[in-house]
Amino acid sequence: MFGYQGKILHVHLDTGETRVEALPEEIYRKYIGGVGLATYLIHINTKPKIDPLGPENVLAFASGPLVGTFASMGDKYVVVAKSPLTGFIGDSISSSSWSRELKRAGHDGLVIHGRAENPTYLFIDDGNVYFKEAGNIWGEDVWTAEEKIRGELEDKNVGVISIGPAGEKLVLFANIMSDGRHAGRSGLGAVMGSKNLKAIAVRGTGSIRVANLRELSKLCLGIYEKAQGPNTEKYRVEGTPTNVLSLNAHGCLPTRNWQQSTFESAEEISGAHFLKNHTVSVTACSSCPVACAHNCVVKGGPYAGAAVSLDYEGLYAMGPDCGVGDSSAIIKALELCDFYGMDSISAGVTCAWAMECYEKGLLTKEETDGLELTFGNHEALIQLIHKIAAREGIGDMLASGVKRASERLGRGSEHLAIHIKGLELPGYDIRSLKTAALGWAVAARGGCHNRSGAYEPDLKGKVDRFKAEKGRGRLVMESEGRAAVLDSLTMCKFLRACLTDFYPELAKLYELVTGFGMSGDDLRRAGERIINLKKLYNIREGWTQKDDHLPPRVMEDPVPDGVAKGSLVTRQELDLLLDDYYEAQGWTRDGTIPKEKLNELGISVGE
Amino acid sequence: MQRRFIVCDPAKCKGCGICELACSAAKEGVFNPLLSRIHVVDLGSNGGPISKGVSTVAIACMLCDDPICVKVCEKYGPKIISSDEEKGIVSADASYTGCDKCGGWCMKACEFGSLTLNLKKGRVVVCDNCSEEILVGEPPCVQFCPHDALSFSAIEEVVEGSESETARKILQEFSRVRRESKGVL
Repeated sequence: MFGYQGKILHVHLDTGETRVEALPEEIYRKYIGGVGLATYLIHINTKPKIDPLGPENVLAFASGPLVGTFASMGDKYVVVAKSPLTGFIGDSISSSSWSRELKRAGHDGLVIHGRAENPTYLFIDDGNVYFKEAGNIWGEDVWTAEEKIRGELEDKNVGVISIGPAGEKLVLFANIMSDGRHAGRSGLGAVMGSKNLKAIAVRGTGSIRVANLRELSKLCLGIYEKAQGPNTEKYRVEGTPTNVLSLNAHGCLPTRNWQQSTFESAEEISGAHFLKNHTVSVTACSSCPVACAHNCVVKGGPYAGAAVSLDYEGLYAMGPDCGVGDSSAIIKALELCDFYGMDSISAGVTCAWAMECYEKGLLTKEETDGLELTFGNHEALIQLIHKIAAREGIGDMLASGVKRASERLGRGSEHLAIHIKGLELPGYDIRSLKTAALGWAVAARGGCHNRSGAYEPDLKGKVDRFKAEKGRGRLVMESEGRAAVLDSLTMCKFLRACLTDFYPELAKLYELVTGFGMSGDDLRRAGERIINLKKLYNIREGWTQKDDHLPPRVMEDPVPDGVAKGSLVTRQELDLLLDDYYEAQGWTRDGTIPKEKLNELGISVGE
Repeated sequence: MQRRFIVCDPAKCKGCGICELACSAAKEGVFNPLLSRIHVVDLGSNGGPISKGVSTVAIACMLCDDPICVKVCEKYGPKIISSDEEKGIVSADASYTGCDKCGGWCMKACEFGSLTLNLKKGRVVVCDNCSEEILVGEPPCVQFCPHDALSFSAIEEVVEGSESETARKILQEFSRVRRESKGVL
């Protein structure tokens, strides 16, 4: 095959068996790769209603067809499993050379079954799979684990993904890390921890072939040129932290657990501030023509030496959302999240909730283990992060995410919990971004800015962002479809604006790499199929319409400040938006997928 | 004649590795960094929160005046590496397939880690500036580098006077890291 390897590796941790499955060509054409392929793999390899942290859950990894070639625009792997945080589909993506190594070892995907008896790491060395003792790295942070594994295997170029102590302790928003990047959201690090699996090392020495190298070269050179043009300037120059000032100006920068939508210290934590005071280098992920990773270091003061590759979402969560306007403290807090291996968005939003509870008297000082948990107190925030990772004291409650923590605490704290389907929200105040509000409400993995770019029409002024109206359903549906295609190919979303004609150009790339005929319309259809496949998984796991919700604060507490003052999303507005979206998808009024729709899309995994 | 070779500006290199893919695609028709004649080296990556080090650089053949690889191959090896003064390149006899049986003297001797053993061919390969290919414009690695870090230049165009010694030391440091980090080859 071209682009693909045609094979999926299954590893059973309990029995030590391994098996290689050849997938029919039809599956590749239908589900493309990445998130589409991995979602297909969990559908057929798990039973409904399983415990996400039980041995019967599987972790399905997949690369995309473009990975390993210069058309990949950033080598990424996708990991999908039932999420312990949401109970629905957990799909997470990370840039990493690991993805390319897996493919060069001969596999498009990897399915991990069962649970190892003792701490283990896997070493996939081309066609061989070794189960390695991980007792000596259990408890280590991901960087140390990576180094030790590379040392033990005597190869510094081996691809390694691993979990940190948070994953081992089953922190429900633990992530999987590699090369300093994260498969961050939905707690798949805890699934890996539940399997006693510390890391997966892969060495692939094989080659990847493409169907039409000459034409592919031309097309890629054209995209590369645009990748250094104005459409990616934002990512290259300041990186995503540039969002701080622009969202603040839009009155969409969630601050102090979403009690405000502007932050008085925004200038001190702006993209320009980090660039001037902290950025030491800007690097690219494997095969990326953009280079957005802004590597930031604290150069003096109490947090001197702390370092992180900075992105907006983590910055929002540990910064404005926790009322922290000290850029060095934010870097330190994010470094700790990386050190322990946990999602900084979920961690920050959960800490912000605890801070508001403390300030409102819903949590006493005794209950916070003596921490003065006020907004802006970064010393306390840092202590709290340590406690969460160790599941110690109040950290144990917070380690289950804001939904469970608020249910456990009660006292009206549920009203302050900023999550959708259990996934803590990213940094866009959706009270004044009504297309995004719909996108977030319906996203299969919960509150997420990556599974649809539904904020784009709002922020670019293509629609009236303060208004809920018919037509937004189609915008969200189309945005989800494009995201699903990028996540399946797998291509970085930062390249999306470099494509002249989204579907036809991507279809051409796909065709030149794989040799499979694919029109722009076929690819659009594949995106729709993948969105339906994800939704079908959620329905299987017990989804009902009430799960397409918004946090109470978004629906009841109007924005108090900034240009969006007074904004919220009413129940009536949300109902209108949901009806419009379900209709655009061709779903029933209560949001389920009719059989005819599944047939039309050729989805048969549910039977 | 003035020797030109692939030069990387560490200030612009982002470590993406696209040059390696462009090279293996152009020379071997497939994507495989192990078959590339240019190699990305990460200087300063020692674990920690920032995965890639302070600087990355890509190194191909430096086309030394009196190449040590040619000398050691002549003295200890199969005598297949030669220097083409006219083209200004070093190359290995394309018909030879026994390099995997040699002690790898050329690879060990090269200060820049520029030679690579191609296991399928059974022969060391080294950057030849794509002189065998019919090129439109610059070599593929230079054309494909999205970050504009690579150029096809003469050493004199890149550094002058005392700076050239510093540049040379930096490159040697990079190649030391590369040699130590070499994986299967």
